[in-house]
Amino acid sequence: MSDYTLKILAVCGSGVVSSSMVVTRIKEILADNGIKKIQTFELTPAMLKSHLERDAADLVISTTRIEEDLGIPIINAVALLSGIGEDKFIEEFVSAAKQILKQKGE
Amino acid sequence: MDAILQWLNTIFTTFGSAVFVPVMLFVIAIALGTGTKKAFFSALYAGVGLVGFGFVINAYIPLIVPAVQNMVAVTGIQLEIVDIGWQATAVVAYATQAGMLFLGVGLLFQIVLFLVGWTNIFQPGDLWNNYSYMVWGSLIYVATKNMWLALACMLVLNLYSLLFSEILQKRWSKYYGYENCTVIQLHHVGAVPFAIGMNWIFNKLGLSKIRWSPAVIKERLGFLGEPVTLGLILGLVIGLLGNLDKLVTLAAWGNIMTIGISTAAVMAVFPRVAGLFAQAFTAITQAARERSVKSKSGREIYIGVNDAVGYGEPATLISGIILIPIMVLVATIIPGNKVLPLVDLIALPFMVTALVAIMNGNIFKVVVSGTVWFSMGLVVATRYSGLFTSVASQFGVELPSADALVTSFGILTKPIFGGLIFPAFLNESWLWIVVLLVVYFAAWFWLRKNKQQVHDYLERTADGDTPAEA
Repeated sequence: MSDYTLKILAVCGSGVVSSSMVVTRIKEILADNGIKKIQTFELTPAMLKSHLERDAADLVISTTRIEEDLGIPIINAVALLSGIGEDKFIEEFVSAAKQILKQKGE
Repeated sequence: MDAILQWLNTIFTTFGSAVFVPVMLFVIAIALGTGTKKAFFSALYAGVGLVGFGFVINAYIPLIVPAVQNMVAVTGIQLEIVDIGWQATAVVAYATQAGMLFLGVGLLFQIVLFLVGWTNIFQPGDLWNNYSYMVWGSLIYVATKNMWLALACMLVLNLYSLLFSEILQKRWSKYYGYENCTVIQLHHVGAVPFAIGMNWIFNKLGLSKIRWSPAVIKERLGFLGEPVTLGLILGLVIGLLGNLDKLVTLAAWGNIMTIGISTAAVMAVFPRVAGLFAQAFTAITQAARERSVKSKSGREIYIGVNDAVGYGEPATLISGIILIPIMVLVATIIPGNKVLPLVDLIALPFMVTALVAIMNGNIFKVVVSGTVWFSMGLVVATRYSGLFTSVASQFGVELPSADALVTSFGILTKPIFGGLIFPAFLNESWLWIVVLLVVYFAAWFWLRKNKQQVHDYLERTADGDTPAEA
């Protein structure tokens, strides 16, 4: 694996409660897949654009709907809250993370 | 049982909530089989959140409360009750004896109701928001010193929220596009009967034809949805109003600017602390869900999800943002209201989620009905601000003066739960309690028989009097 630190933005309505729950889970999921170097930020949808202007990120996971096109992948993480479709989310999320790391490693 | 409560109380007052809550969470996490490591971190985050909250709120309150008192004195605007926000309310609620009791009993109650099929909603999917029950329970306990009564109140509120949520579940799930998920929070589903009634009136008046376009409004008012901007504006306005009589002095401007920046800071920092606290619930929520939900397949079930799920949906966000300035203005003119909506204004896009689902995202309908609903709620919050203040001051909020009053605009403004159900227990009115229970069981049986028709009705009327055939 590369030395690259994966930057992930976790988004929810308040920028805290469900996003921090989701962050706890994705750290576990990534660690299970051998990805340990990650950095996460928890944000509200309103803060997304201005955050990305200041600091680039690789991936957005969100427990709420995001309408804007941010130029980076956005993955809906409600499955982590409800448990419905959780496996599918994990699969999609891990493969997106791996793909980003592969690109950055080159 | 009374002896146990007494004993728990002694332990509680000796160690305080920042020790007691983590221990409770650790025990619950272990019991649910999360493993020691996750249980330990859950517990630690809860303790860190509780202590961290004290740091923030007790730096802000000595600044904002006098500022609001100045505003009242200078302008005569009678809004002296400061809204300290749902995050502060949650942390206070978890720290109370009633909260501690409900942390265990409530979770068990909700799991059992689901497993025996009393409800088809798995409520512990959103364990964190149980603080809403704890708030009302702790008010009862402070007023009556009767923990049984407090517990009974919390459980009855819980039963009613499940009932309302079962009415809403299909509509919410469909509108927000999350299969088999629903909101269950007491502070949101209380609006369900009201929303259905209002929508019926709107449809009769033919108001479904009014369609506001979200994009334009978002462009104009979007800045209000950014916590730091809203905080700055509100702080500056309060500061300015409080210093109207001495605007020629430099000190006045120093004070105005400080209040502005500090309010922006609270809007930004409070959620961080709440986030630390919320992390404590991740492992427990997951473990409870994995244990209970898998064993019950074959019937239609709904998972209670965090209210943040609905937030970013355009009509929800826009309606909430439009309501921010409206509620500030309306608060000044409603007779009987003394609450100054402040920290929770940013939460308005959460607070409209039930209205939005039932009215199918019609922003006009949501804004009008939201204004009426929250206005009634403000009167309820005003009435119980004294009780809430004494709970808050016992559990971590230091008030600068004896006459200071606080509340939460998001959590206490509940016309049905706070205005009709809670007082039965507060006044220890047995007749009223019996009526509440009879109404509940009658409604429960009726809904069990007519659920399909109720869901069909909500689908049919969501978008107006024209039947939406799909």
